[in-house]
Amino acid sequence: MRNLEDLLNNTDFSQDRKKKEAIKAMLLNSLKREEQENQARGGISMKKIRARPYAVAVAAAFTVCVLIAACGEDIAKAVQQFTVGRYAVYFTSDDAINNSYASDAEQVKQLEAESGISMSVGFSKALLSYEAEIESEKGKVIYFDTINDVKPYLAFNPLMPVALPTGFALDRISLYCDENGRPLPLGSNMYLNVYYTNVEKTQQIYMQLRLMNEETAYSSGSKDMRYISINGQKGVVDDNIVNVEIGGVMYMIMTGRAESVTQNDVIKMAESLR
Amino acid sequence: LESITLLCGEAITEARTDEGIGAAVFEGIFEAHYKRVYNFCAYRINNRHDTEDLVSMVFEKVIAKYSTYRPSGVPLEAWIITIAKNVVNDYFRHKKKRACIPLDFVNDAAVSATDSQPEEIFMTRENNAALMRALNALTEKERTIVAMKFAASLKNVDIASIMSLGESNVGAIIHRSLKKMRRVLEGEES
Repeated sequence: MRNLEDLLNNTDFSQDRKKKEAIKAMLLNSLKREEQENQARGGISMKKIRARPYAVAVAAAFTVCVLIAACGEDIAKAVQQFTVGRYAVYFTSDDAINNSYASDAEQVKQLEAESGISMSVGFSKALLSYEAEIESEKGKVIYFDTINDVKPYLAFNPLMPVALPTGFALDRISLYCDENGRPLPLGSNMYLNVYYTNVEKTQQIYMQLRLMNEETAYSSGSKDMRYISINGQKGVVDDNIVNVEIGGVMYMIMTGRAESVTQNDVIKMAESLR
Repeated sequence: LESITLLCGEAITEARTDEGIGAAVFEGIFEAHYKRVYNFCAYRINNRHDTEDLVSMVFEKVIAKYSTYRPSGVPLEAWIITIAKNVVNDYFRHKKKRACIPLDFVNDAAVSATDSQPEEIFMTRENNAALMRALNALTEKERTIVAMKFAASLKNVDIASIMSLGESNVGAIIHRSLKKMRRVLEGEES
């Protein structure tokens, strides 16, 4: 008769080494892509939410209620939650100082503890010069000259702004590449980076297009955020950012390094997406 | 942070996790816990392809939630298996297909061990099949606890914590489960 203890102690279903390496490589790629994406996002760091966003929304709403009940109106003022589409959640804080979201981060930790869902709030860091940014992108992205060149690689059909702030023009278009510096397979890229600069390249507008789904879901933070309607589509806006989801694709326009560009300019740019 | 974690291996006691997980830390955790996570899922669902998907999901959640892990609380392996347990529960909740899951570990698992001899492959297949038949005799709760004990190599105290049971109760359930499984194997021999 087979010895049960032997079966229990010696059976190992995980012996397929190739499969193990494939799973590990996939997860490491995902982790690295997230890190690269944070770096390339013009100084605003984000973290993906792996949980279902509606669960995040429900949990977060519940916890905000708990916080309100526990701490009174101060916290209610301090944390506000915004959602755009099904896969993006934003938090904002009245007492954020100099674009530092430390106070938000503390409160988000409380939300995480209550909900058991991992989320993170965006934070700003020193913005790179044009040359430093190009240097930082080396080996991480592949450049394309035109939007038509990059389209076959995308998992979505991108819209581009027709109206740009005065003095700005398309500078570069890029996709994240794999660890060997090659583009991901045709039709599979869920992220697209588009950069507009002035002639001197001292100012830059960054636009990331992101196909929204469970894999690309994210949370982010801001100082002063409000909802906005862009051609009937719900979005959010703050001093430097307009985010709007159109046709399942999030268009994130960021002007962290474009001092001359006003919020109105960015809204017009978003409204001109065709 | 990363060097501390790697040096300590499974017994991460001092490392801070607030800043999330880096590639090197993740690789260390993956190597240390892949086998237990894979076998835990395999014991529970017995479907090769779905197991691979679930293992990926478990480690994705480890990446996403690592900043919330507190080394001073439960051991890392127990924390990871708690995640695995929830992932498997979600799998059953969404798919509701436990009854029609094929016994494909029986056919596939041994074949994938490419350096095995034909006789070894045959024996492994037979043993895998016997183990799965014995596991099928258990209730879901018993199967989860047996998977935690033998596939994930958790201590009874950690299983008790995860399952919200007393430690002695866990011991009794394991004893009763092994009896049931032994009966299945004996029945096959007679």
